[in-house]
Amino acid sequence: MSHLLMFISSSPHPYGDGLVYDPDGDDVTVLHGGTFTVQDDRYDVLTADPYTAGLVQEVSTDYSQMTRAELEQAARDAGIDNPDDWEYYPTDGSLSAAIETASTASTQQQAAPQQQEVAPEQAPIPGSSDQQDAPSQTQAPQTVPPAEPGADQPTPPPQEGVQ
Amino acid sequence: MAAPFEVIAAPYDAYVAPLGTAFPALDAAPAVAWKLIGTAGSRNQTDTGVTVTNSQTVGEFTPGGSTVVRKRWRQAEGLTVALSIADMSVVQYANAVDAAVTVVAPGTTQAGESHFEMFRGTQVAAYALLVRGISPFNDAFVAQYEVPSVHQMGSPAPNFSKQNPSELALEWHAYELTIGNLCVFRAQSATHT
Repeated sequence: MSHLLMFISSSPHPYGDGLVYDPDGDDVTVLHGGTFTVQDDRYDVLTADPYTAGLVQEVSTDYSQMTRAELEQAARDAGIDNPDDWEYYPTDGSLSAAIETASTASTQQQAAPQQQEVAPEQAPIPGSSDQQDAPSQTQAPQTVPPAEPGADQPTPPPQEGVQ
Repeated sequence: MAAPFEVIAAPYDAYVAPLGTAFPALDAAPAVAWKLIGTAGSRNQTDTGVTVTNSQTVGEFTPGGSTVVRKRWRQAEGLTVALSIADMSVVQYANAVDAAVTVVAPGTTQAGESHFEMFRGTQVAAYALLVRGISPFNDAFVAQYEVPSVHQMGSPAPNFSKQNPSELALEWHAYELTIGNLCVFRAQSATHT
């Protein structure tokens, strides 16, 4: 069985980042937002490695076949309001990744369960990385998908007590 | 901590994201597009923390008929955010030198690896920057600096020894991409009604 995957780089400025997904094969480097097809064995290697697993996402659309104009229309359909801004989307891949993550975000937010409140004694320091480290936090962590510009994740309410 | 809340003695986290990324609401966690500087955020920062500097150059006119300044005007201004991280992960190191990362998946004849080229050429990468911590209204609330456009202008010089961890010195300089907007400091004062 074949899988259509997209490389979504984890760096904050991903446009030049690349992935060599099959060094034994054709040794092709795919750039951020690029799609590629792999068979089961390579798919298993990519998803079994925790590092590369976080960089690939299975997709249903091969954006590499689309023109920039088609990508911009698809982006508008996905709720991105400035797809023609080359300052923000300097490559077709950056726009493809934004469409994919916006679409996934929309789908998963609809399916996400209601967020639970956090007891005051469990609440992490607001705004700090404690929020991301705190094991007791219940901010629907895996239900909110990666997102390009836009889509904030909800956080639990802060502790009681106002100045 | 307790009052007075306006006395802040706590680390702030810094995040970078592609230019144009929307800033999070004060009561929302940053979206995934916002990448922590330091794999574990402030837990990778050195104890000097994050320094936000407002700089300016002001011209003065002292007239011939007086010994006192009669007029001043701002000639230049800027904003920098500086911090050091003890974090030599490939993504953080590459980010510190504006480099693109190539990830090579493991194969049958070679191990998986990631690398980056330090030659950068003339183009300087631009980012959005977010610095976030406790609010001066209440330390249960959030405050954040929202810097829409920055360049990484630091010169990281990690030192490898058994005396101290290797560090990456980072210095983000804001620039005016959107007219009239350099940086917004926003502090939460209340929860949702």
